[in-house]
Amino acid sequence: MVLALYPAAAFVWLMTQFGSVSGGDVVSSSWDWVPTMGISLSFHLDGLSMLFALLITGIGALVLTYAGTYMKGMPKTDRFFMSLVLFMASMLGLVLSDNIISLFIFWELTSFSSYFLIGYHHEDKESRKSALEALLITAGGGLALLAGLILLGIGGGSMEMSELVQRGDELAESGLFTAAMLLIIIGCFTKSAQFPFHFWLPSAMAAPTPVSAYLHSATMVKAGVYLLARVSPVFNGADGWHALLLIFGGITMVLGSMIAVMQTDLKKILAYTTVSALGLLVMLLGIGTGIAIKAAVIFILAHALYKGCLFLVAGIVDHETGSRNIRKLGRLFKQMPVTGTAAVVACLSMAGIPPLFGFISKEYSYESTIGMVVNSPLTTSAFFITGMLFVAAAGMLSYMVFFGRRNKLKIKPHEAPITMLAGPAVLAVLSILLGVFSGLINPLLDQASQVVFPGNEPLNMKLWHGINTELILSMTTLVAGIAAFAFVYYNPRLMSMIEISDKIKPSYAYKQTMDSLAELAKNVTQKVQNGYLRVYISMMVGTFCVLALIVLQDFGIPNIEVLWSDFRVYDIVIGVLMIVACFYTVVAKSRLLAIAMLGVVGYGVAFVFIIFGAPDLAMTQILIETLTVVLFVLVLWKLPHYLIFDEGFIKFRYFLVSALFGAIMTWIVMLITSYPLDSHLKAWFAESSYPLGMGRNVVNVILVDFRSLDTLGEIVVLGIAAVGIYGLIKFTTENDKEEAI
Amino acid sequence: MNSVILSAGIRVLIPLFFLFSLYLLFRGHNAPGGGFVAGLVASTGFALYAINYGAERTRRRFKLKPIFLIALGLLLAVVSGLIPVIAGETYKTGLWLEELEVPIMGKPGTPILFDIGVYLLVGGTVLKIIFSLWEE
Repeated sequence: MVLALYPAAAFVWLMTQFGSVSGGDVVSSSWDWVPTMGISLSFHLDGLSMLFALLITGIGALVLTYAGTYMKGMPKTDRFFMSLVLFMASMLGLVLSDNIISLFIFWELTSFSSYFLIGYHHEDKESRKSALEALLITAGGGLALLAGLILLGIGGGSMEMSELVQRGDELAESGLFTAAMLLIIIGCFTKSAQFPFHFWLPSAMAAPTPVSAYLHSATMVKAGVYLLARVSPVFNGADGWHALLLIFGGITMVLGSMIAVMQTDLKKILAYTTVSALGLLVMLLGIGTGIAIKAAVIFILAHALYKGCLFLVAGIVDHETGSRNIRKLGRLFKQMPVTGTAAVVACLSMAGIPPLFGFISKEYSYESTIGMVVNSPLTTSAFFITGMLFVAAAGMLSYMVFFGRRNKLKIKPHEAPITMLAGPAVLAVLSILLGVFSGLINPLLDQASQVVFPGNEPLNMKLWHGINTELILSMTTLVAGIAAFAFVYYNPRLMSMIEISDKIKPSYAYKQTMDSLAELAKNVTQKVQNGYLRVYISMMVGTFCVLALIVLQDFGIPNIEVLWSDFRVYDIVIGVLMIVACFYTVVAKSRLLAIAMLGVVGYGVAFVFIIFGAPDLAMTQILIETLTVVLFVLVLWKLPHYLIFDEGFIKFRYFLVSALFGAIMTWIVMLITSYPLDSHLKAWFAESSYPLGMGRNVVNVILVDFRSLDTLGEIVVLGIAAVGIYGLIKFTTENDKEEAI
Repeated sequence: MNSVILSAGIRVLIPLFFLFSLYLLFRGHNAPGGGFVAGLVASTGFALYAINYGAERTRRRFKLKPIFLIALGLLLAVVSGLIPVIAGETYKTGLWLEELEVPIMGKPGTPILFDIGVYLLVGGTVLKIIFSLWEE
C-alpha cells in the first residue's frame, strides 16, 4: 500500500529526532487557534510522546501494508483506509498535543474514527452494536475527561500540559484537585478498557483484524494509559490516586487474564489478555514508584511489540484457514513456517522468557511490587497469577495453533504473502533484538520514565540481573503457567463448561441502561409525536406562548393609544377584509373554502407589505400564497375527510390556544411600536449598501452580501427540508404499497 | 386536471415565467427581486405546467432534475464564499469586477454568484416538493 508511506515517513522523521529527544530535549511547535480561551494547537515531543509516536507510526506503517493485502477484494476499502489514516493522525495528535483542549479533541477523534473502523461490517447487527458500544463508552468517558481537563486547566492556571505538570501545588490549593483527578481517571478508564468498562474491548473484535492489531493493542486503548502517565507527575502521591489505580487496575488485570484462558476464539483471547495488560499498566502507574514507572514504560513497548504481532498472526490464520477457533486449529507450522515462527517468538515474549524483551519487562514488574511498602504480598501475588495465566494464554496462542493436535480444517492452508508477513516478522525480530540489545532503546525509555516521574533514577536495562528474588519468581511463574496451560489443553470440556451468569457482567448493566433509555424515548415520542398535525401546531404555539409570556412579564402593558394613531382608509379596508376572511376560515364547512379564505388573509398581508414600502417582501408573500394554492390543489383530493369539531370542549381548547397566541402577538407588536426604532443599523445598511455592496436594493444586499452566511444557513435548511419531504412522501407511499400487498 | 385555458395558456406562459425569473434574479441587487423570489417565480411556472400535464412529462419536457438543482445551488453558494478565500480575504467577502458594468445587473461579483445559488436551490426545492406530491 502506498498509503503506508505516510506513517513510514513520519516514523523516519521521528527517528531523526531520536537522538535529541533521548538526550532530554523537547521538540515543540505551536499555532494559535482560539487564543482568547487559551486554546492552541501546540505540539510537544518529549520522551513519552516519542515512545508512543514511534509505536503509532511504526506499527501504523506495518499495519497499512498488511491491511492492503488483507482487505483486498472486500467492499468499501476506500472508506476503511480513510478511517484508518484518520485514526492514525488523531492518535498522533493525541500523544503530541500539549494543549489540553486540543488533546481532548484528538482524543474524541480517535473515538469517532474507531467507531467507523469497528463498524466496518455495518450490515452485520453485532458489528453495529459493538461499534456503538465502544463509541458510547469511550465518548461518554470523554465527557468526564473534558470536565476533568478543564478543571485541571482552571486550577493550574494554564492550558498547556507541560506547564500544568509543574504546578501540582497550585492545583492542590485550588480545591479542584480531587474532582479533576476523579474525572480524568474515569475518562482514562473508559478508553483503556478498565473494569467495569472493559467489556467494549472484546466486543470491538468485530472489527477487521488489522484494526484490532492497531487500535486494540498498541494505540487507542493505550491512550488512557498515556494520559494517566502524562498527568501522573501532578497526581502521584495524592490521596486516592494510588488506591483507585491499584484496585481497578488489579481487578482488570486478574479478571482479564482469567477470562482470556477460557476463550476459544483467537481474537477474544488476545482481547482479554490486552484488557489484562492494560490493567497491569494502570496498576504499575498506581504503584507510582520510580521503579514501577520504569516497568510501565518498558511494558508499554514490550506489549505493543508482541501483541501487535500476535494480532497480525491471528489475522493471517483467519485469512488463510477461515477459522479463529483454537479447538479447530492445529499443526499449522509446517504450512505456515514464517507466521508460526513470528507467533512463537511473540508468545515467548508474552510469557516473559529470556532473552526476549518481555522478560526484561516482567523482571521490572516484579521488582516494583516487591519494593512496595504496603500490600506488597497482595500485588505480587496478583502479578504472579496474571503472569501465570499469560504463559497459559501464550501457549494457547502458539502451541494449540501451530503444533498440538491435528486440525479439523476442510481446506489446506498455505503461507501468507510477503506484505502480510512483513508486519509480524518485523515486530517479532524487534522483540528479540531489543531483548538482547536493550541498550538501543534504553535512552528513550529512560527519558519517558523521567517525564512520567520527574527525577527518576536513570534506567539501565539488562538481561541478566543475577539470581535474585525477581528471577526466581519469574521462573516459578513460568513453571506454574506451563502447568496451567497443560490443564487447559487437556481439559477442553471443563473449560467450556464454565459459564458466567450474564447478570453479574457489567455489560448487562450497560444493556439494561440502553434498553430503558430506548423505552423512555419511545414513550415520550408516542406522547409528543402522535401523528395529529393539529396537536403539533397547538403544542408549538402553546410552547411559544409560554416562553413569550416569561419574557414579556418584565415589560408590562404598553400604551393603548398606539392602536389608533394615524390610520389611513386602505389600512382599515385591508384590516377588515382580513378579519372577515379569518372568521370564514374558521367557520368554513369545506376545506376548499377554508384554503381560499386563508389565501385572502395572505394576500392581505402582502398588501400591507406594499403599503409600508417592502416590495421584496410583498412579492415573496404573493408568490408563496400562489404556490400554496398550487400545492393544495395537488393534495386536496388525497387528504382525509375534512374534520369539523362539534364537541364544544375541543373547540374551546383550540379557540383558547389561538386566542392566547393572537393576544400575545398583538401585545408584542404594540410593545415594539411603542419603542423608538434604533435606526442606527438601518441607516448604516442604507448608506453602505452601494459603496460596500455594489447594490441599491438594501434588502438584497443584506441577504446576499452583508449577512450572506445567514442566508447560506437558511438555504441549507431549505435543501434539507426538500429532501426530508421527499423522504416522508416516498417512504409512506412505499409502506402503503407493502401493506396493500 | 384538464383545463383548456390552463393547458393552452401555460405553454405560452412558461418561457415568460422563466425569462421573468431571470430578470428578477439579475436585477435583484439594485431593485426589488433577487434569487429567492426569482426561484419561486420559475418554479411556479413549472408547477402550473405540472398540474396540467403531470410531473413525469414536465420533468422530461424540460429536463429538470430537482435534486441536482438543489445540490448545484448549494455548491454555487458555498463556492461563491470560497473565491475570496483564494484571493486572500476572509470567507464570503464580496469581490467585484470593478471596471465592468452590465445592464440590469450592475457590477458582476461573488454576491450574484451566491444569488444564483439561492435561485437554483429554491427552484429545485419547490419542484422537488411538487413532483413528490404529484407522484404520491
